Amino acid sequence: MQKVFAISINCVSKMEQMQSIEININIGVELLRGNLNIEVFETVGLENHIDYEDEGQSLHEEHQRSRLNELLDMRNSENSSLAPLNIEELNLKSREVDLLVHELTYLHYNFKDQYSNEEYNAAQEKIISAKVNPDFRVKTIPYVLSPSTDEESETCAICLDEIKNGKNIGSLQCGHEYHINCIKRWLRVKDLCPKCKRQCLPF
Amino acid sequence: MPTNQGFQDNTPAVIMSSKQSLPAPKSVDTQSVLKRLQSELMCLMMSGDPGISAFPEEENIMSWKGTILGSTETVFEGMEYKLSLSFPTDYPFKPPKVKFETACFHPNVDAFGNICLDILQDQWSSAYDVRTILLSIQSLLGEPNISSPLNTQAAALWSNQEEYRKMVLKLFKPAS
Repeated sequence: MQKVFAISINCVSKMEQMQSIEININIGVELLRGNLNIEVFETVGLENHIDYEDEGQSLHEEHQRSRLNELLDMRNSENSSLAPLNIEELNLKSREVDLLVHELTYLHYNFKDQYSNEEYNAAQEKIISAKVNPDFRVKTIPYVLSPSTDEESETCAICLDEIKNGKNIGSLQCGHEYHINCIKRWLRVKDLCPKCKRQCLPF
Repeated sequence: MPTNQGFQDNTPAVIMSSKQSLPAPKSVDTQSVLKRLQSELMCLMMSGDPGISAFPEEENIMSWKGTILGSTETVFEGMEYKLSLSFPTDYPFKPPKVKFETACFHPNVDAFGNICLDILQDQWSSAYDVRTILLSIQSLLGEPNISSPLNTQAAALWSNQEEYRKMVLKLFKPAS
């Protein structure tokens, strides 16, 4: 029904992780108020890449959890149309809390940067409620509002991200497919298919 | 129709204002490089190719250290070579700079560790990655391009594999 929105998280340094906490909080507010679309949610296995130093970790975790608690209270009191949620019910591990807020940050920025207010609002109308499963597979409405099919997903060899549901594909004469923006940029560097190195655009 | 009361009063303006107080997101460009390098790192760790490995340096994902083990039945058998990979901000549209950190007596490697390998120069493709680079260098070790050597002494000695092996062993200094 909905397509899976899968991304990876770019959070390399500890500084970025700390900065992201503040962003996360604000995103979290929107999520829990029901302002962001959460229906299908899939994290790309980045669990191994967010490593906090031991010292900072418990502080960070405590901070995130207490914020999440506040957010839940806020959501529950402000939004009577949604079923009440509590942190125990969500049963998230600390990593999952982080991943959730990180993902939302990304979703938020991408959405706001790429789409008009009309599109944004249209997406919001699709919100039903935020549902977070204990096994942490939350569903989000895709930020690109396109009908999805259950075609096999492929990877774009340039950015290594998934090519989702035939959207924004740039297909070369040799049959190799990439994201349209990725291949456009590469063809400005070299007029060859990155995979098979055949010439692709007769000028 | 889904109910939409919940967010009607909370217009995107709320989000906008909260966004302003926050550090600006990285440019899409840098973010895509980081994302691609993280994907590569994950692939490398999962693939477990024998004889090659690579990992970002501390605090800087744009700079990696790699190792290559000389293939069996070549004069480089058993030798472990360390390399540095430095990624440009427009990676993978431009190749990374790859150098040997361990001295390597090889026709296509100069005294400073620079490597003469076409895929790292004009034959670069954005579909190549750290894994393919390291595998290419590993195979370059055993199959040098003698016709355009950077190290003429090595090129001249290549035909005598027994003597060459002795030189490899003699000149090999494991990186500290």
